[in-house]
Amino acid sequence: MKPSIIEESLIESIQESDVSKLADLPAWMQDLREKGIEYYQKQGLPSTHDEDWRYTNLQPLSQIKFRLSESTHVKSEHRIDPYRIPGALELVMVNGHFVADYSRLNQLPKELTVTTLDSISKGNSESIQSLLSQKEPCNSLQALNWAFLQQGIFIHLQKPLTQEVLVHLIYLNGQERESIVSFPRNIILLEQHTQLTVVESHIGIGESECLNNGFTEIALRAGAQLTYCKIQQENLQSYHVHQARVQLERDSRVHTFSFSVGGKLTRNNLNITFQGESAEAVLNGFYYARQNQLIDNHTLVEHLHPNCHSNQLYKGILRDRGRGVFNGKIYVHPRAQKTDAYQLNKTLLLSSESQIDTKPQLEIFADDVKCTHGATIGQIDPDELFYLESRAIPKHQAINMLSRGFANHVILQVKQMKIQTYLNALLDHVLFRS
Amino acid sequence: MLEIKDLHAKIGEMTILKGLNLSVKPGEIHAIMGPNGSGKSTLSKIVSGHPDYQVTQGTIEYEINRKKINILEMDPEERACEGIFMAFQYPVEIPGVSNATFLRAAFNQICKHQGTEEMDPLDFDKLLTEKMNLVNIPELFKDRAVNVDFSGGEKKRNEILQMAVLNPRVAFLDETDSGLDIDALRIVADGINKLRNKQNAVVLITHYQRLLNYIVPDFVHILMKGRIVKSGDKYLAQEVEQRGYDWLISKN
Repeated sequence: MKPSIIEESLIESIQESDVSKLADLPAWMQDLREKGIEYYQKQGLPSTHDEDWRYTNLQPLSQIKFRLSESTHVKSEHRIDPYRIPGALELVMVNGHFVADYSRLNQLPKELTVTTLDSISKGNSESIQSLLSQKEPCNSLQALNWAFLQQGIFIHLQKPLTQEVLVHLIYLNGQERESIVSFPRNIILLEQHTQLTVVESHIGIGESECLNNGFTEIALRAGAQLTYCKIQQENLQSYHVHQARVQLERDSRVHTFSFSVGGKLTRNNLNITFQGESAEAVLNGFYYARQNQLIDNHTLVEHLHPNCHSNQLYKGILRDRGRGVFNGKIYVHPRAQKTDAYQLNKTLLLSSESQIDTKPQLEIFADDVKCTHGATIGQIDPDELFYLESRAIPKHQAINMLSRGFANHVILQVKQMKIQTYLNALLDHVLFRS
Repeated sequence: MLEIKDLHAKIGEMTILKGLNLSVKPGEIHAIMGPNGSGKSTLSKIVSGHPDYQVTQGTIEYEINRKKINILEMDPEERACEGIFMAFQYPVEIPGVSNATFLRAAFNQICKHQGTEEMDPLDFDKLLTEKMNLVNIPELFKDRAVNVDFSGGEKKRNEILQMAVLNPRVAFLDETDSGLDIDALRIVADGINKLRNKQNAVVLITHYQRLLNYIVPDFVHILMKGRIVKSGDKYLAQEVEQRGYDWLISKN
């Protein structure tokens, strides 16, 4: 489909702002940028005629004049404090730019490299390039992310650590009243038998409509283990489209947790590919949409090799006119025998105007596999509600407590107590303030 | 302090209560007995404000600050704030909400209603420990989700714990004795006895005289077909235990 003039304006409005600033980049980054621009100019934004985007309309994006921001201004550093996780190594990015002053990297162990993409060494750039073997972007949003590739974070764990380490990437987006676009880019590479936890937070700090188009590339070498938690709490005017791609070599294990409570429109694409035998992926998610929010989670798990396990649980709460989309695709290739794949999506609707479109998609081409999926959509149980009310708890608070209880189960899947505490506090904040 | 007059009520199209009268004064213990389907549970649900039941006739007057108020106008949470409590026959499981969180939320609502300050978490924890000892519930039940994976006996004890924490003026205990073994029954009865005083009242709804060996009622009422057909003292319960309910039907 040819892009319309309106669709082109997204790239134009960004280009107008400051394309020259992107010029001084290493050749491999330039190359990616060119591929991205070319792909986007050909394809434009996806439309709702595209099956993958049936419930999520990105066309309003083309009407907004976004610009890239050079500003790394945060009203005060204290503004960041509530978002920090105690004891974590923290990198703070404001409108896509790394700000060393706000970051906390002094406890960085020698086994771990954490750096911005434009300052990585030549040796590392080769290992990155081998990771980014993708010939061309797989969709327009990824293309846009490539087109504006400027900065990014590279996390490389070479050897096993002697202690548990949590890396927290804090993306603060927005500026007073301007529509800012940012393109976060992260690459996480864990060498054999290493173990790490990474939290990626996206936080809105302005009041205007922003676009955050992030892409996180994850590769786990044999036996490596990663917990990757992505938290989205942007303002309710903003657009958030994010893709994460995880490649798992044999015996490796990833646990992903996607926690979305902010944004006007959120789309998370999470693609997991088993590149070796006996690897495991646990995919968890929680979404809470109220007012006019839309939160769309698309997962794709590709079982290419035998004996791999994938287990998905996504839970969501929708209130007011909040909408949710869950699309979970499991693809079992012919040689992926003994695959064990499980998927469950549960949504709690708190209002008659809220809406969930949930769609499991199983494509199985091997004969000795175990695949199950399920989806439930429910409302507050009147018996539970009455029980709380009969104990003096007002209805609205009772509903919030029961919602809290509904969410609790999936939050408990995160085994790191620090993250659990953080998510619980965030959940209390969003549930009980409204 | 609680005066139920000519109460008629239905659920859906089915009329269950057909002119029930009951008067409860501070310091009293009443027992309501009756065959299955006579309306015992319905009565306690209506008193606590269950939305599924529709009162078609009659009033429930409750004395608040020496004023008589028809509680049928009040929401369930308001009734609870004013000191009306029901121990559920089938306590509801609430996954993901800890017992302590739940009880503190309930307790603080009542504080708020009474215009006193909310209790801070540490002080509440002390109070909770004290009340848990009273009804013999191990402290580890504080952090467990409300009634989830509790045994039948634990659920019933948890109801009495809630009663102990909320300190109601009138408590309807709906078959709190059913499903309890003899030791659990004794613990529950002990708890209730410790909680009673001259200012509060307890209405026990039960199938069996057994409970009344431990909690001695001042009045026993027999509820049949939606009305109280006979009232008496504790000996009425013993008589029912021996003779069943049939003789009361033929009398009517």
